Amino acid sequence: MKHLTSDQIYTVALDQKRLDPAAEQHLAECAECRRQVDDLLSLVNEFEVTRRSQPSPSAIAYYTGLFRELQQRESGLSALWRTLRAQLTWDSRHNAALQGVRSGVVSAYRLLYTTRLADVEIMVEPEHRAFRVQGEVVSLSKEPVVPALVQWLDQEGVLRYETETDDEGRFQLRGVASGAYRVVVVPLHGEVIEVQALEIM
Amino acid sequence: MKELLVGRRYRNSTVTYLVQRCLHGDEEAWIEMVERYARLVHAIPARNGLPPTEVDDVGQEVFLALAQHLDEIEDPERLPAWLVTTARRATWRALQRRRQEEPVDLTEDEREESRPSSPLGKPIPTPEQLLAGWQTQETLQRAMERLNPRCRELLTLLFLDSSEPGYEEISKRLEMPKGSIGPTRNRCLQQLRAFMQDLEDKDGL
Repeated sequence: MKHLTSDQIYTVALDQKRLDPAAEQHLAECAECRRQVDDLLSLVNEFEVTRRSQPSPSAIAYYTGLFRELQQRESGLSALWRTLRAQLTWDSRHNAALQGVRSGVVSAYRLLYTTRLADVEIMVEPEHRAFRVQGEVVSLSKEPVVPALVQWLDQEGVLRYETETDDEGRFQLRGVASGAYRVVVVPLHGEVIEVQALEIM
Repeated sequence: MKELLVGRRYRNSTVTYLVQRCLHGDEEAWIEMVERYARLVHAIPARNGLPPTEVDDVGQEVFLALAQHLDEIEDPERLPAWLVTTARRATWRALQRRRQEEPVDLTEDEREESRPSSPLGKPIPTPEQLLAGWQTQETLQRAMERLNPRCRELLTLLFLDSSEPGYEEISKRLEMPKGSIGPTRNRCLQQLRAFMQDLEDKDGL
């Protein structure tokens, strides 16, 4: 099989021109030639990212001027970046009677984590071979904490699941594997809320 | 002259040393840090289709946070990952704000046209993906530096110049026949890709 020449590959990818019918037919059928076209398009995209991410001289001047902020811990904006560690205040597994379970085996259970700004309630239910997690983030102050990004990280800090709350603070994840997680709630405004050790089993 | 020299003293310093020097009140170290990582920070909102003004907003937010919390970063060698995560969250918030500010009386076609190229609602890449993207950007930059000056200038005009000069303009600037631009571009890109592959192989990517 005779592949497209590199000039033909560049013509298709960069000049957006059509080739002769035989070459077009080959391109439609040849995964290797299409991969080369895609590689070139990726490179062009990287050039575009480079161009759009070049900071202007005024931006650089602004950032270097922030040296005066170094080591000044208190400011109106610093609250955006502080993390509130949530404390587990209720685990329904510690009271099986609340589950209405006769055998003593707890399937679905609820967890409640509290910070000074918000509660995070999580319900865990087995579903097929994994778990369904439904949660709600409830503000305890005038500061709105929803909508928020909800991230589930494993013990190595690798992001495993991610979702967003709705405007009422509710979220859901399905297919969650058993394990230990760190759950990070990132509100649109205000401090990040972190549940440090959440075991799903 | 001072402007030319500022920031160059720490050009080859490790991140840990840069952070230590910043925390000791060394302004040159801070300038080096800004110059080293500003593009990394900007690349994240840029990849997510935010316009230049909002890219700058994200940059301001991230560097302000860095200045205020530099002493709290436990492992300075992970500073790039910290910057990526922080910029990602700031980008997420900016995209949320754009979604909330979207006029309600647009038609579906108008709404689609006004979206940035990374549509609202599309998941933001993970920190790992963004760091991998940054690695690609660094490789591209290093490969561009290896090109001969003529190729570097041509590819810069074709792909990196924000004024987006056409072939007529490029032909004048480089004193090159218009008909040669395409074939020369292809040869230069071929060379660039070979350099990038070589760098990736050496970096074990």
